[in-house]
Amino acid sequence: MSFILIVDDNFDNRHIIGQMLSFSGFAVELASDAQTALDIARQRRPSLILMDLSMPGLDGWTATEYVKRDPHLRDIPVVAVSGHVTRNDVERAKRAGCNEFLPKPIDYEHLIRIAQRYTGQN
Amino acid sequence: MRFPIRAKLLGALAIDLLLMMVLGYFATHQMAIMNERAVFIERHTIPSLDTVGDMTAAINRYRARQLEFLIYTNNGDRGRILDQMRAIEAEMASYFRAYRPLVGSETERIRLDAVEAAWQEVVRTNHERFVPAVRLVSDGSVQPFYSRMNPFYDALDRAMAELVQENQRQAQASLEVVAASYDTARTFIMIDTVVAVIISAAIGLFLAARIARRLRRLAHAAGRVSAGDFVGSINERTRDEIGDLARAFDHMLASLRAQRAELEERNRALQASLARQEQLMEEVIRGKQAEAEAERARAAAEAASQAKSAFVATMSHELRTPLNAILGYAQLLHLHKAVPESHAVYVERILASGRHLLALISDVLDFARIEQGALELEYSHVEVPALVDELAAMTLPLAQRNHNQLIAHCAPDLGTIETDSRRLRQVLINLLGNAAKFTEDGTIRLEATVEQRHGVDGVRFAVIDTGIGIPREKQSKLFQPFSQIDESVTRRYQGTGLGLALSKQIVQALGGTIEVESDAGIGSTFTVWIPAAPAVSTDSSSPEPHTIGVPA
Repeated sequence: MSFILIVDDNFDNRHIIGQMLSFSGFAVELASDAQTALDIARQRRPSLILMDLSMPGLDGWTATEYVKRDPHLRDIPVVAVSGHVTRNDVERAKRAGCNEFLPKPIDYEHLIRIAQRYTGQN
Repeated sequence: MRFPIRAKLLGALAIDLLLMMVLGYFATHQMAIMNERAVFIERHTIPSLDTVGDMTAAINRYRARQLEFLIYTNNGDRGRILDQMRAIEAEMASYFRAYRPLVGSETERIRLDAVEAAWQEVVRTNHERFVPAVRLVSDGSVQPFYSRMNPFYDALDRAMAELVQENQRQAQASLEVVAASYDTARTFIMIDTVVAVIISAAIGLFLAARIARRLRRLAHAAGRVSAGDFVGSINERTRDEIGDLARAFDHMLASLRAQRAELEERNRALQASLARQEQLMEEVIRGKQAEAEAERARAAAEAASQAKSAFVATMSHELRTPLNAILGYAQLLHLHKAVPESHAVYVERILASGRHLLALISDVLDFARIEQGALELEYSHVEVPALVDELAAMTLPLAQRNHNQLIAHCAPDLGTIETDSRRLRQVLINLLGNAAKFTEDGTIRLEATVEQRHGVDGVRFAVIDTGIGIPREKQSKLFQPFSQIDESVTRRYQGTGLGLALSKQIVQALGGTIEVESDAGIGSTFTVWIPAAPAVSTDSSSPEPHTIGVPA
């Protein structure tokens, strides 16, 4: 059963993204920190990870690097979701291994387009 | 005295020398006199007296022969004695001959003549009377004959005595002359010596005193000079070495005065220069302080600017978080149609206001970045025809909302340019958005052409609308932040109020210019020119202006 893993320390953000994806028919799993997200990803292998970058503890950039270095996980696309929208932030996310950058606030249509593209689901 | 001291000293010496020479001459003269006298005594008196002695002895022998002649009666003896007499006569004659050259005076000559005459008288009487008389009387009674000779001998003795006396007188006279000469010489030498000493002492003392006095004046003057007093002079008129020295001193004094004056002048100049230097130094120090202050101020400003920048970035992020939630939940409400149809418009207003706020935050962030020069430009190849098409496509929905026609035109010679595509897009979208907002039932035109400005290749983008236009007096403030024409406009058209100001900053950052031409009620033309050398694109889009969308 393919699902989208949403990682965000902010309750509102993860809840809104989850609701939007659910509304469009995607299965989602929520994680409030990167370590939990990595555990879930190793156990259940999501089809896409939506990764917040600036988080307490293990941050999104480092977590993405872990994913991309793990031979079992590196095929999972990671889309950075962040309010840090300067060029440097985007570049840093790309360097960490993010496949795409989705700025906050979340635009519903933008989110769905990306979800569809990386999961191949309609 | 117009003679050098050497001359004066030589003069004094010369007087002494002259005195010595006179003395020498005189002494020599006196010596000569004494010598002459001594020689006279030696050559005349002593030989004369010797001769007189010889003569006396000869006379005595002659008288003895007369006596023998008396005694001897033999003719043979008498003949021998007569021979002896004649020999003595010859001897006497030789004495007289010898004496003649020794005669020293007239008196002596007379007395010698008298002696010779007396001798001749004796000889004549002997031969004429005594010898004949003795020959006649041969009985031995000779006494009377012999006695008769006495007066002649006496006369001869007297003459001889007078001659001797004369000789002695002459010797005495010579001795007296010698003694007188000695006395004269002694007196003269003493006087001469005393005079020489006195003259030398007088001249020496006079010269010494005078030289000492003048040297004292010089020393005094030198003392004054060494004490630093260069005033006055010695004014020596005498033309000798000290005079020369004094004049040289005066000259030196004048020279010193001149040099001191010059030195003082230079000192003043130096002090002025020093003062100026000090002033300059102070200015430099003040300048440095000002520089340091400026540097501190600049650092403070930079720190403040960085703090502001950090603040703005943080704020922008912090504002986004709740805004995300607002927009997210509004979208969810909208998706789920959770709000009754009658109130759905409220959700839409929440979304619109949220998006407006989002745009405002983005613009503020950009503006802050530009203000602190932190705007990062990313140059890349931009296909101008494609850009024009894309912008037209993006603007179309907005344009159509107010029933506008949108025309896009890209010049056929325009291909790829090198610029920051994102920022250029941002500017043109802003201008097109404004045009769409402020135009109703009109035309919005986007043009891209090649244009050189000041010899620099560039591309000119024009956004032309037939909208409400901008009054001339407002145009100058148009590119300042928050300068929408008035409150009513703001309320009616919405907008961040930063769009044009931001656009201008971005265009300037790209090295270009942005201008507006507008007439109220007729329309506006915004022109953006950026420096870029266009390369003709091979796969150019349609060269003809194409109209996208039609008035609804």
